[in-house]
Amino acid sequence: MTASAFTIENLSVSLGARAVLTGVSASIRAGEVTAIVGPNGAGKTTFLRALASLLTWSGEIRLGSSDWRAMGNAQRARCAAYLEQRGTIAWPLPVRDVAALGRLPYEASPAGRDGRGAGAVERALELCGLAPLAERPATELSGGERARVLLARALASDAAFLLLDEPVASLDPAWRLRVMDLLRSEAARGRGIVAVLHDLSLALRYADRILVFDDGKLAADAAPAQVLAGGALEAAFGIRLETVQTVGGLVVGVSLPPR
Amino acid sequence: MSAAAGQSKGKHPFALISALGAGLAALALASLLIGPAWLSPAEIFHGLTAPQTTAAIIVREIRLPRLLLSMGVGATLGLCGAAMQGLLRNPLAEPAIFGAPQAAALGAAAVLYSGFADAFSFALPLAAMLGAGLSIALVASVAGRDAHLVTLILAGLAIGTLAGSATSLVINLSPNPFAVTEIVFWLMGSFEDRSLRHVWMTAPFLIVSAAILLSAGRGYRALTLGEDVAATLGADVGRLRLLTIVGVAMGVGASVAVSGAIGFVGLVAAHLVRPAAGGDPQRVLIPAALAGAVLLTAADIGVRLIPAATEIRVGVLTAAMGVPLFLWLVVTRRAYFTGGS
Repeated sequence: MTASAFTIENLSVSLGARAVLTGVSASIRAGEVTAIVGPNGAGKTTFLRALASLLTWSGEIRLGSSDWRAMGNAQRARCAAYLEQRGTIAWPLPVRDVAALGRLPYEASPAGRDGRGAGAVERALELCGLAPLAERPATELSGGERARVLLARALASDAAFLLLDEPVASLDPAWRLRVMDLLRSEAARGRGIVAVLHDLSLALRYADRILVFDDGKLAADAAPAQVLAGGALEAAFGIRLETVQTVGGLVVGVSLPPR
Repeated sequence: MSAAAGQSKGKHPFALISALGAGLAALALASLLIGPAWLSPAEIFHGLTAPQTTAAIIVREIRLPRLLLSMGVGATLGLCGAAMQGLLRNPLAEPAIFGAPQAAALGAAAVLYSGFADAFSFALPLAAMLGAGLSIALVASVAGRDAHLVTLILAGLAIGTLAGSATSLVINLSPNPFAVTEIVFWLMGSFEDRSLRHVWMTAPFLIVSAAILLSAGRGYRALTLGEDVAATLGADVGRLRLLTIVGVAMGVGASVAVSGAIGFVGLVAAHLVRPAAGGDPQRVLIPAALAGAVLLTAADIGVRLIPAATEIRVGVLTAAMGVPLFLWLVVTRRAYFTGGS
């Protein structure tokens, strides 16, 4: 997949009579980590689901010069892998087989059977620290381990774009960092990473760009430093932020009200 | 059914499929041997090749049709159970729990009662398929996208009960006591007194049903991660739902039309082979079909061996085997009811 960017113009989504997303225009580039942040209910997941074509949307989305809507399910599946928030695994499949589900979009084409698939699965398992667990039934793992299995499934695909809804939410602090490093290196390999994040420090430290959603609208779309300086985060969340400069970068904390 | 790239090699179902195939072959032979008149393998061989002996008549007119139907219906029910489990991502799914055989029986009983069955020989299977199709479509649409087990079971219970009482109404209104006895015995499920004509009438539907359900296998595998992720993996979930409903309705409907209501084979068959198939909802399909054929052929031999004044109906035996297993699964998988995984 060589498509270089998603171009989103005037994207709107309504659920029933309620407008969940209105007039969002942005572009999401390959080779970058794009963080999606914003308060609960701001439309982050809806934005990601619209990109994954899981709901009816109005406006325009193009991948490169192709109309995203006009592409079929199967073709879209080869271009973008989607990681659900709190994903489920229905059957006690071995971890390796769950990761191999990421290869399903390529099985139908001859190119998918050239043996590269197995390598991609093993690589994804290795990256997510799952090689020792590869034969274990995925349903018997802990919540954090299961989340890594599902991430490995997305990584095992050849998709140019990864649409990840809270990929680190159920991980411990060490794994959060490992996964964010992993996403950075995937971006360096040319992939476009779109990740919904609640940890603002991680978003500021690892993202190339941050899209701030507030009440169904795109409140900011800029590099981390500009987003922080512009006050969009504080306005969207209705909180005051304090930053501490550390060796690795800025750590952002919420300013607590006095007792 | 090629294995996916990078899938575990350890639990490939070839060994399982071979074992089940061997078991089925042994049972098939036993099924031809066993009955009120016990035959030797030599007599069976002569019966299949040379015409006009008593053994030939017993084998070709009585036991062979019975064997072919029990294998075909068993395989179909096993496959339908595994397919519904794949679609609904739930090991408790089984056509009988969703009222499909009851609804098929209603369609068939209505045709028997109205006399259409005599006028048009395909009326019975078609009515049974229509009944099964309506019940499964109704359950699937009532349950909605998330297919929560409680919703499914309640919807299935309602539809099964409705179909059951409508069948009672048909029996109730039947003016002829012989017709009543006929419908009632037929509802219990049996392969007694079936001829090769029944086999030819049923086989095309069973084959098409199997082809449809096997073609959906990759979709069931994608559904392991839920409907949304399956869609982003390129699966057409709506089409998958429709294929499953049509395939199961055709298989269960044709089976009920020829053998009466036989339940729980799908549940038991898929449950028995699932661990050996590595839990994969696609790789479980063929082993489940074979296990269904083994179970039903064994059950049909069983009813011939149980001493009773009149032959025990095979549907009674499968329910006696299947219901305890279902209850055991419910008890051991309580988490499904409380919303856990």
